[in-house]
Amino acid sequence: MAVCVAVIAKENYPLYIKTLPNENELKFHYTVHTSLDVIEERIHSVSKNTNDLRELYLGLLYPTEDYKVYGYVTNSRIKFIIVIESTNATIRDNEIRSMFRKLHNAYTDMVCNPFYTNGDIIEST
Amino acid sequence: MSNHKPIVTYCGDEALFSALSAGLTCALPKEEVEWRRSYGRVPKTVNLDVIFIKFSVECLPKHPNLSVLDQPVFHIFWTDCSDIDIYRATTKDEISNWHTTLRNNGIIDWLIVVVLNSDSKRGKKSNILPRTSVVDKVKGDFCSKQNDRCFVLHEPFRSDVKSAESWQTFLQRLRHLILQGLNRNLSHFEENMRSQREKRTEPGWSFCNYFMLQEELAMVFEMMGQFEDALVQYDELDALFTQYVVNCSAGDMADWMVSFMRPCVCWDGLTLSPDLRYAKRENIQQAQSHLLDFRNYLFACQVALILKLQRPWEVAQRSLPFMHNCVNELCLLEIAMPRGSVSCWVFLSCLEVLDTCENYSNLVEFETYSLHTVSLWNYARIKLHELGELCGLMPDTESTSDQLHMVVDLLAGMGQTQSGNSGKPGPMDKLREALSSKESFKKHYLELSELAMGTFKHLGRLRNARLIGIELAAFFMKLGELYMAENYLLEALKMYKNEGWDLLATTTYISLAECHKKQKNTFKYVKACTHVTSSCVIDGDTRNHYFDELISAAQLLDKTVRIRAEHIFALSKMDVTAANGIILGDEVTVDFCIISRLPSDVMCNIACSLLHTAFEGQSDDGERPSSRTTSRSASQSSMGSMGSFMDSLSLSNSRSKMLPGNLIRKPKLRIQETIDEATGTAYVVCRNASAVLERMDSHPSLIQKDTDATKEDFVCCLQAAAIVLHPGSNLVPLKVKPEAKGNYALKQVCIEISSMEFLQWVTVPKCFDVICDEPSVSLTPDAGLLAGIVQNVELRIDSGSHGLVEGLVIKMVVSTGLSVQMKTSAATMLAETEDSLRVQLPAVSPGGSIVLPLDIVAALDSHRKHKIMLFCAWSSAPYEFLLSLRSPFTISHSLHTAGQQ
Repeated sequence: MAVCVAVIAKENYPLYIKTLPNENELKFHYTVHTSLDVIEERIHSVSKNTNDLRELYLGLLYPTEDYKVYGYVTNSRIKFIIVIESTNATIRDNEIRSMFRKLHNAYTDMVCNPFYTNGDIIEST
Repeated sequence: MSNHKPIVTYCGDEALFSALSAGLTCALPKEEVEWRRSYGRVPKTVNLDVIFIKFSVECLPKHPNLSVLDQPVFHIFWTDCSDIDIYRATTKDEISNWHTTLRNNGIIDWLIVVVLNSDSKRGKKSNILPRTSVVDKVKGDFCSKQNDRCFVLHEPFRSDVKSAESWQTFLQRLRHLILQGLNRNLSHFEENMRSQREKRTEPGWSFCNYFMLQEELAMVFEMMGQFEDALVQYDELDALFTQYVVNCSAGDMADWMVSFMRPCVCWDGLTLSPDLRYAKRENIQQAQSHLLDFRNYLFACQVALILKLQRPWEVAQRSLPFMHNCVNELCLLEIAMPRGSVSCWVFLSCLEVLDTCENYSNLVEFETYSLHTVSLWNYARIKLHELGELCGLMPDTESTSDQLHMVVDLLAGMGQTQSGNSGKPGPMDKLREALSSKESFKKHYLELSELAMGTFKHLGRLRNARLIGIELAAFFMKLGELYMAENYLLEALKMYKNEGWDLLATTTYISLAECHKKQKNTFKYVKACTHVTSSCVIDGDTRNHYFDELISAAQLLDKTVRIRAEHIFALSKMDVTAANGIILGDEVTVDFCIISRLPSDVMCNIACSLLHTAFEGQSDDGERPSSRTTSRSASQSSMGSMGSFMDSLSLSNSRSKMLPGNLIRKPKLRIQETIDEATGTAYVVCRNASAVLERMDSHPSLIQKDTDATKEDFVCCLQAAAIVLHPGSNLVPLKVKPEAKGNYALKQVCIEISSMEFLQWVTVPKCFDVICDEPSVSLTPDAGLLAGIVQNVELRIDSGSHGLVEGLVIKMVVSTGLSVQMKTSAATMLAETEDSLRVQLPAVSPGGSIVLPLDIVAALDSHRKHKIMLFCAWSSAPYEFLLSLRSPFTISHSLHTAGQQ
């Protein structure tokens, strides 16, 4: 299971960050924030190379000793980040992809809500 | 063992061979040869470099399926026998023996070389019978079915065209045949290896044995220069082992795994220098190896191949996952290791990899290369930090005797396999030095940090750099170098604030507050405290703590500190409570809705500065924009601007919650309303749609400008003293008594708490008008009146802004010929003469009016223009009304004559 899920706005401020309740939230804020460096690198390197439809899933952004950070960027540059514990060897790449797809769908549903203003902090119930 | 070469044996005429061998060994690898491989793998071109050994029965492979290295792959018999008789007598037997031995061993890769020298040629010439030369004999005796197994080499010691040709053909044939032999051996070997791998679930199977097999395959590929293929073998082994570890952690432990899981006593880092690797191989073969040793060895092999492929950056790239994986595996398998030993291993390994990479790197690939090395530097830095904390080497701690013991123990676990340093201090020396004293620990830690941070910055990974900066700041705080710490914190803070990461920014503010407190800089400390205490992303205890700190620190301030208030106090609403305009002399009350983000009640004085503008074209006759409600152009009136403000407020509400302190200055709406009465339609047009609907970026940093708090002129201001602001929303009435009429715009709010002033610009236009109208008098109608009869006119007195007090007396004087009479009970007549009246007026409320009906009669014969003068107490000059009265009839006389008649 993921230990942290984050949705980051186009301008790189957090729209939503949720960590497991018993985890150190601050640590994940740092992790997610620094992973934006890698995401930006990936986005730029891709946009330089091709004008084709971009693969939204960015894959493993960078591993740390304890965690693996995965990234996903929508076409409107909303970033999704999922952090998994390194010791969790059971989660395969495909499962991560499907997690991102679900997250993307959930986000799309939320944006479709007419009472949501684009760019507002997301509150989950 | 990278010096492996395929082995080829020689037999027969040794003198002949030794004369040829030097040239042969040199010439063989000079040309490439195509290596066709089994299982439809892509053919490769290889350069074949072989060594020759003398043939003996002992050197023949005993278990051809178990090994392929160190075993001859090809066998050559050399002879230069030219005499058929000698051949029959000795050479044939020799060849026959050799051939039988080979055949008995199942070897079919051999070649008989018959060297023809010039004298033998001559002999050949004399012999005209076919099939009688030695060559023919050899072919007939041994190679009846395989013609290519016998080669005739023409005069290799001469240098004419023919012998050179013969030599080249020989080389080509030889290369081809050797490869064929090698391939045959390899196929057997691979088959065996595969079947071994299939047995991996059977009990008694040992990974170590299998490892040796597949590694040998890798070595063969390496020997053939196929580094890519060799690397694949190692990667497969790596994956296989990893899978076993995962299974093991899931409870499915293989028997052979036990040896890998013994408690670890040695945590030497990686050794990448090739000459030291092979001692470890022995250990693995004997299942004496520890998990860490094994991993070290495997990775070293992979690195050696990658370096041969000229991809030093890949070494750096693979290193980090490798180390993470190892640390994880140690964890998964619950291998007992002393505290800190893993950190030592990681640190040593990082430095070893970096040292190695440095030797290979070039500037072209520097970017890709440093992308990976920087994580290694960072990883080493983190581990050194861990060690420092563990061993009490941090600047603010004293190491205990336990910690000193720990250092000794850690050092004892290193250096058992000596790293081959060549004068340059190796990773081990660095770690020893770093752990030796606080001072040298500091030196090494700072060096690593600077390096990692600098590289991150160079790569444009600023967020990573800032994170290191924050950790460095903590280190400098412990060192007492507060100035350095402050700088790093401010840099990070700027980034977090710009990008809108509240929790990170607040955390940085907490560190900054501690830093300022240590610096005894109350001024800055207060500022930092306000940010922490007003943050909504941290827990209440911390906020309360910093609130108390804030209040107590504020007492110590020797001068006023001005702080921008957006993050602490938000203005949600300002209402001017006067519907009909404010009259000069009245007290104006503006209700402020202030949202306090402080965690507790606070006593403060609140003021709001006002910008006063006199009305345009203002004069005493009171031509105020009183007709504003009828004005169609909304923007022209202050009422209209308030209307548009409401729009912009509701628009910006949701946003301002998110971005405290933004400065949204919306332009006024310019709306034109047009009513077309002919068709009965109306429509509105926004004249400045492009300005009002300007794209608003949701990026906070674009809007929020972190300017300093400057205080406005508070000479004319709304005020409220000793107000208690509760956390959350507060309604505070602010009052002012304007001293001049005109338009007052709210500019800046100042909330004063002891000697702190929280300043905030009023970002949405808000203003009120102060008016002061004099009473006015009018007389209607003033035209169309008739002289000679009684006419009704009305004198109307508008009371103006202040109203009329009771008992005011007005005096009316009329010109001669005009008489006036008042017929009302509304006012009290004081004196009445023919041409003047004195009337006492009742009280009239502000904005009200009184109408006095008058009867006037003008003499018929008097002049048509009359004047009424009105003297009022509120006006120094009299009001004058001119009346023109027409006569009701005219008389004319006319005499008509007809001349002389």
